[in-house]
Amino acid sequence: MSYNDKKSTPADIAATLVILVLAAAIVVLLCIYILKLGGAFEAKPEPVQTTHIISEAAVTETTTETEIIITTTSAVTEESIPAVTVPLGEYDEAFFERTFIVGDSLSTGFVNYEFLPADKVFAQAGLTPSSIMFTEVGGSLVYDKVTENNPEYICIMLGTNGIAYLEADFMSEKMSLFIDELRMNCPDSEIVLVSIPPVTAEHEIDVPETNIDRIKLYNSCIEKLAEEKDVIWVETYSILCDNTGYLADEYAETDGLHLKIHAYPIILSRIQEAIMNYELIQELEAENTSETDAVTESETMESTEEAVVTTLPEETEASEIPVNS
Amino acid sequence: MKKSIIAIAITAMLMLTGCESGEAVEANATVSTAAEATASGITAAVMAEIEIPSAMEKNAENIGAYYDIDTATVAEMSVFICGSGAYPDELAVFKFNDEAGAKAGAEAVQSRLDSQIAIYTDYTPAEMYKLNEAVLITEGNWVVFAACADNARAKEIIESIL
Repeated sequence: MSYNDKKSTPADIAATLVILVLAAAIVVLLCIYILKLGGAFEAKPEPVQTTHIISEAAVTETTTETEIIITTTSAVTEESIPAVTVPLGEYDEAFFERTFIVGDSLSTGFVNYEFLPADKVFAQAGLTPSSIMFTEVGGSLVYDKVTENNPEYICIMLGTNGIAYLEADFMSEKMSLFIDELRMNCPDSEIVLVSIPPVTAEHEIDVPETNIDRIKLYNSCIEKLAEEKDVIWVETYSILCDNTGYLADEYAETDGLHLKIHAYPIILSRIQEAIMNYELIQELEAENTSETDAVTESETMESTEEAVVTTLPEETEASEIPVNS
Repeated sequence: MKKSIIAIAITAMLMLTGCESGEAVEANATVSTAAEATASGITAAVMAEIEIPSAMEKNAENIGAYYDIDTATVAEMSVFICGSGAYPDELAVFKFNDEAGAKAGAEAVQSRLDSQIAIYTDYTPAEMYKLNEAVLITEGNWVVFAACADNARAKEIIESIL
């Protein structure tokens, strides 16, 4: 029997049509799937949300590509996470034209190692938060030097010399007095308190009174003081110690207490970062205040206008009263 | 052929450079004497034997933070201090334009020494021997000051040069 001889029944035709429709449907579905898959490859990734939270919400800034949320409160708090990051050691020399450093022998390193000019530093070996208030360096008291400079920021890094024989609370009290005195003499300057660095394990063995527990206690006292006095706090202890909690060898002078040249850019970058974040917060607060003021002002204007309208007849009457009565 | 010539030329240049730096090191190490003395030669000779911890060299621009000296009266100088502030170690050599300048310079150096003694007496008594036995030599237009771990040896070296 030849092919031509075969006759198609209606059932055969119907079956063939069903198969053809099904095949077409499969092809269409496949095409849709492939197109979707291609689209998925071309699609841009979801934007990564980067969030910098300084503290609790008051001001919120949002950008389109990378979302940055900066939220602030009125004071720099210990929970603060810096919104500005200065890479460790990469400080800007010009930035420190606005600052003045006050300290002991550790701070003499800023000048000796030539990170800062001598006229931007008041420092001498042996000074403490107590003795700084009455000790002359180069024939001048600290207040004279600071007033002469009138810096935007006065950075204090003091306390190491008292650790061995003065109580942390006592030094903190003296520091509080010193801050008050500086504010009186230089009302336009902001105060920056810098933590004191750790010592090496060898130094602690040689001079047990100057141990890291006492240093940590003192640092926590002045950190609290910074909050109470509403001054900028700079924590440098953690970046100068090794994984054992003592001063890292790379930063330690042979006496285990003083600092080698490499430590200073690290400290300066931390100070710069803290000040920049403080300035950012101030800026955001100012923006927030001006926005609030604008809203309040427009509300006040409206209510004043209403008040004027309502009180105008009374005022007119009052103005008619003779002056010499 | 060309390659060989270039290779020879490079080798020759390297050898010459090596010789130059070698001579410079030798000059610093041996140090000139008497009339040939230089400020940097004297400090180099002392520091070849005695360490100034965390030594930082000071120049005419920043010397004012340490010495009350009129730099216009100084012909040459070489000054090293301890950068970390941990130790009172210091080495300062000044050659003044004239003896009058040297006299004023010596007074400024003495004043610096007195100030360091006042600071370090309570601060690091163990280091006071460096200041109590410090070397201060005035010779013609020269003023040399050394406060270091071996002042006696520093004095010998300085005197052998001046």
